[in-house]
Amino acid sequence: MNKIAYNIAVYTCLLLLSFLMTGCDHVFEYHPYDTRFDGEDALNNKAIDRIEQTLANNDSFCFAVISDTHIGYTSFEKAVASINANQDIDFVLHLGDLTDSGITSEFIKTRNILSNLNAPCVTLIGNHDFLGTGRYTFSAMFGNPDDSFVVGNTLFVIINTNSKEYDYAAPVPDISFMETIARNTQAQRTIVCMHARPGSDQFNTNIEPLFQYYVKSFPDIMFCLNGHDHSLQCDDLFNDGVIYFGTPSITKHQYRIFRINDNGYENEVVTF
Amino acid sequence: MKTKWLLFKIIIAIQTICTPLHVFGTDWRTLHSGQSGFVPSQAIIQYAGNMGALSIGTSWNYGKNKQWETDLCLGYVPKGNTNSSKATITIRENYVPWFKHIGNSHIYIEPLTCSIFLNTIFGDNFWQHQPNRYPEHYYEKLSTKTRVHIAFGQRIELELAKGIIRSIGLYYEFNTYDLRIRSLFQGEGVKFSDLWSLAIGFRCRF
Repeated sequence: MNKIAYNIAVYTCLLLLSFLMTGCDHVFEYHPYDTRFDGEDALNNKAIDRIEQTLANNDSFCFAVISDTHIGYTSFEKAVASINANQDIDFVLHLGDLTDSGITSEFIKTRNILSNLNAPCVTLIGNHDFLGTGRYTFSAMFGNPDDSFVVGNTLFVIINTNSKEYDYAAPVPDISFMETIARNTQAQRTIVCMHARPGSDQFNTNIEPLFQYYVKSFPDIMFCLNGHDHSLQCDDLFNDGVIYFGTPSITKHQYRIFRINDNGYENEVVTF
Repeated sequence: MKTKWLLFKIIIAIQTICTPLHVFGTDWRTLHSGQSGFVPSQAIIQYAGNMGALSIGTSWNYGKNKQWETDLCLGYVPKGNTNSSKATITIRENYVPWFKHIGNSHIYIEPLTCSIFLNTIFGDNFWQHQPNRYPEHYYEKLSTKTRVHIAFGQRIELELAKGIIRSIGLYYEFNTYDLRIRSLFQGEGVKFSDLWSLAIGFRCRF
């Protein structure tokens, strides 16, 4: 038979396959939606511990806000580098949509990029992160979709507003969670963080006024933060003085910085 | 990394054994004679490969030289961080262009297998088309239930002299799937080499 042709074929196959092998990150994968993963988990708890320790009794601080990194890993990496270059930033908030399809490899990729941040990062769940088994992977890797922490005298409330992902059949946003936090906090002012804001396609329209009522029940609400809409927003949604600051998707090459001090806050949009 | 290097060395070793090429066989009919119709010609057990942690299945050979195969596999995905384990079904079409005996032994190599497969997973969290609650094109062209994969691999098999089982063999394959291939074009910064993951398996021919 044609020996030379066979040799060429065999070695081409060898080259091709060894090329694939040296590339892959995770050697064996059970399924795209298999929720197991190696490496760090419960990242929000760890980040909150770091933030609360380093900024205890500190009423002046600075944080960066990024959002919707799901379709721009290169931009995401550039944003991380830009945030790292700013020594003022004490911590980072990621407002959700870490992944495009909720598959575990996307969560891992995002986690690996976030791990390059010098400052601790607290991460919210976005609607894309619910897809398939995404919500379970998110909970294991980052933490509860509803959470809160206190920096100095400022309360940060993280609230899951992706009602559509539950087909509006679950108490999302969880009003009783908001009520409990508001009742028990010692903080003097509040920043509320969410992925999708009232009026967006994810939010449960029916409870928007109720949601805003509880937003205003927090001590001295300063402003709200949202992602999801992929655009820079700054709106007084309910004409009651509570501003919703929308952070654009990372592919717009913009993120926000907030400087909190005794007198209030300053906000800045950084283009990178 | 260690696992990858070990596997890389194994491939090199197989390839080196294969180097003194004497015979290049294409007459698959002698190898797979005796099967016809709907009686499966192979049984498969596979580890990983994006169709479950463990999959079992059967396979049918056909075509002029019996170089085409259709695998039907049932896979098991452990529950991991979710509340329940999941089942998957895979239908896989393989094309195996060549095989070759090593020297005069009963061991033969299949230096390339090319596959395309569909995997579907069962469970409440997965849908084929986006449910009605979403506006049109909300999650555009996405099915969380069914994935289309492509795979490339190699096999080594041992022919047995007698009995119902005519040969036993080991194989591996690298696979990737639609979402990953899409991310190559859609997202910035996804590398071609990030796409692939490995499966190993065992198959016997009847």
